[in-house]
Formats: sequence, C-alpha cells, structure tokens
Amino acid sequence: MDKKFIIIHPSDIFRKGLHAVFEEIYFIDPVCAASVNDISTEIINRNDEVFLFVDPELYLRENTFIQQRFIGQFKCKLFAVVFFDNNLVRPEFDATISIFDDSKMIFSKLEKFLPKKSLQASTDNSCLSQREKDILREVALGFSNKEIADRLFISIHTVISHRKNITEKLGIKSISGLTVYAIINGIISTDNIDMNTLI
Amino acid sequence: MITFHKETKMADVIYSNHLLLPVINRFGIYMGFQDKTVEQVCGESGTDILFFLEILNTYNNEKYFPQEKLSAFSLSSIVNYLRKTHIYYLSFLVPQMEERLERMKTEEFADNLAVLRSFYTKYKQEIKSHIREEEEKVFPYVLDLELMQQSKMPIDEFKHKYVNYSIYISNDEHSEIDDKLLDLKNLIIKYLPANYDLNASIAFVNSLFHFDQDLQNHARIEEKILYPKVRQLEITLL
Repeated sequence: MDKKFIIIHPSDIFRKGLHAVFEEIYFIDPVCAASVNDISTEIINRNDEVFLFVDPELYLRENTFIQQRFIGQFKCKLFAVVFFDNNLVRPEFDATISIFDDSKMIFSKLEKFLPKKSLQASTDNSCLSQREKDILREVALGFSNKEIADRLFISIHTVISHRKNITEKLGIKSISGLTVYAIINGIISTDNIDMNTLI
Repeated sequence: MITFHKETKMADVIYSNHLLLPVINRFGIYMGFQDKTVEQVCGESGTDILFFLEILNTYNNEKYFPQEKLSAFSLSSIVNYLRKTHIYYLSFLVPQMEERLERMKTEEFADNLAVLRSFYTKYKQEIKSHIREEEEKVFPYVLDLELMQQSKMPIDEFKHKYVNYSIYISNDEHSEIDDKLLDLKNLIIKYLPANYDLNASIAFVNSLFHFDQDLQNHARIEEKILYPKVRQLEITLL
C-alpha cells in the first residue's frame, strides 16, 4: 500500500509550489494537474491511500466527478488549497492549506494523517532476522515456496510473507539478485553448488 | 524543468543534459554545433524536427507528455529511432558495462566478481531476448499497420498475418528487466564488500545509471508515443 499525493489546482504557481514543498519535506513526487480530467486513475493502485489537494472552487464545480473518480474509488484524504477566503471550503475537507503556510506549518497540518514511518516503510534497516536468513538461503538454493514450507515445517503463507519482508528490507526483487546477495554475504557457500545454474 | 524548442541552441541542449548526446547521435547528428539552433541543425541533417523535439523532451523530462499531434510523425520514424536505441545498447552500452565490471577485479574481489558476472551474463541474455522479441514481432506488426494505413497492404492480408496478435504482449518483460537492473544497482551500492577496484567501480555504476535512464526513456517513448498511436490506428483500421 502506497501513499499517492495528487494536486489538482488551476494555478501553475500553486501546483509547482506545493510540489516543491512535498518534495522537500517528504521526498515524494506528487502528481499535478490543472483539472480532474488530466489525471489518469491508472497511476493509483486499489489499496493506495490518496491525498488529494484541490482548489475548493474547482472542487465545487467538479464535485461529482471527483467523488466518482477518487473519493468513491479509493481511500482518500481531502485537502483544500486556498489563497484568501475560506468560505468555499466545504466540511468534507480534512484540512486546509493556505498559500501563506510555510513548510513547517504544512508538515504539522498533515502530521496526524501521516504516521511517522508510513512514508518510508521500505527504507528501514536491512538487517535480516535469523528466520529470514533461513528462508533466503532456501530461496537462493532454488527451492519453491512449497518446498521451503515443507523443509522448514512452516506454512506456505508464512514463507510468502517472509519473502515479501526480505525483498522489502533488501530492495532486491529477483531471485537471482537474492542469490547474489546470499552468496556475497556468506549466507550460502558456493563450494558445493554450480553458481551459474542458480543465479 | 526546461522544455526545448526549435529556437533553443543545440549546444544549450547538451549543456543542460549531456546524456542527450547518444540520443541525438541516433539521428545521425554530430557535435560541433557552434551557435546553431535545433531548427537549423535539423534542417541541415534532414531530421524531422517535430519528432526530434518530442524525443529530446520526453527523454529530458519524465513528466513531459507529447503535446504535438501524435499523427504529426510516422510510425516508421519512431520504430527507426527505437531500432537505433537497440543497436546502441547491444553494440555499445551492454559491452561497456561488461568491460567495466571486469575492470573492478582485484585479487580479493575475484570470487565476488564471478558471482556478479554470472548475474550480469543472465541479465544480458534477457535484454537480448527482449530486444529480439521487439525486433521480430512488435516492430514488423507496427510497420505493417502503417503499410495498411497507406493502403500498401490489404486488410485481409494483415489480419491473416496477425491472428490474435496485440501490441501489449511484452509489457511484463520490461518491468522484469527494470527490476534486475535495480537489483544490480542495489547489490553494488549497498551490499558489496569493499575490496574491488574503486575507479573501475565508479565507471561501472555510471554506466548502470546511464543505461537505467536510457531504458526508462525507451519505455516512455513506447508507452507515450508508439502505443497510443498504434492503438489509434488499430481502432480506425481494424
């Protein structure tokens, strides 16, 4: 599950400014557009959490469309991006960001919607637990999930969940990549195996 | 992010992003631009300027979306460009990476190098087979589609030749190739024990990044320019 930041605002300056702020405080790259039409919902996965930053006037105008495409489809948080008057901001907005807010202010306004670790879950430490190392060894030796489950007396579901964690911790997706990791870190030894068939 | 126009000085294009050099070379354009604009350089070399600018901008800015009517240039010019990228990969970048990887060798690094070599060799085979797939299946389909559009191929012959074929068959492979390249970058940058030749490793990482960027661009051109245009034609012709 990812967080997707989407900025829909007719003003180029608002869009670029907010984009720069999010890039600075969260190291993320929001999707920007001047109207709802310009955004393809294909970029959003079904389980993603969407953070929608919109011009409240545009929201009023294209309300049904926004409901249909975003709010009805995904888990959404809705934020108004305003210049002066706040009387257009409807109660369904979760918070309001003003053009006069600095990065710190924006950060604190969004803080309660973004638990601290949620934006950088996968960059955590790359230390594998002993169990994960066991699983990695089996993966590197070329065993299937089913075989690993049988050999280690655990359920196939557990194997899959360990594998997912391993890939997330190491940032390595392919089986051959994991095998390379296992060899250069001494998790398996190349003495008794033919490396070229494994990698 | 800068968007290049026909009045942009050709030299400024390269000053702002030197990775565009191999891209312009694919159009048969060499350096030594003096103060010529993109328009002048294209005029002299007989290059389709609209297409040239779309390629430069798509490469330079990943958020750039082609503004010009997609119909402004032919499918064969896109295929021609993509073919040249393939040649660049096979005859230059892929061997260069291999050579640079080998140069990382030290006495203590020999074992790990053997492991990486084995990974790279497999990876290379995957790139080659992906390229072969595009060259032998995707491009001929696209070119025949264009022939049909120009009424140089009867629709029956086309339908007979491509029963149940769709342009989307090989999309998964792209991401698999991307994954492996990312894995390789991660393995080198995060997990390699420090006993390799340092300067050679910098050169190797440089070409990995360069290849990565070029591949992503290659995919963007297919996804944003080639496929939509093919889809458009499929809808009107088939």
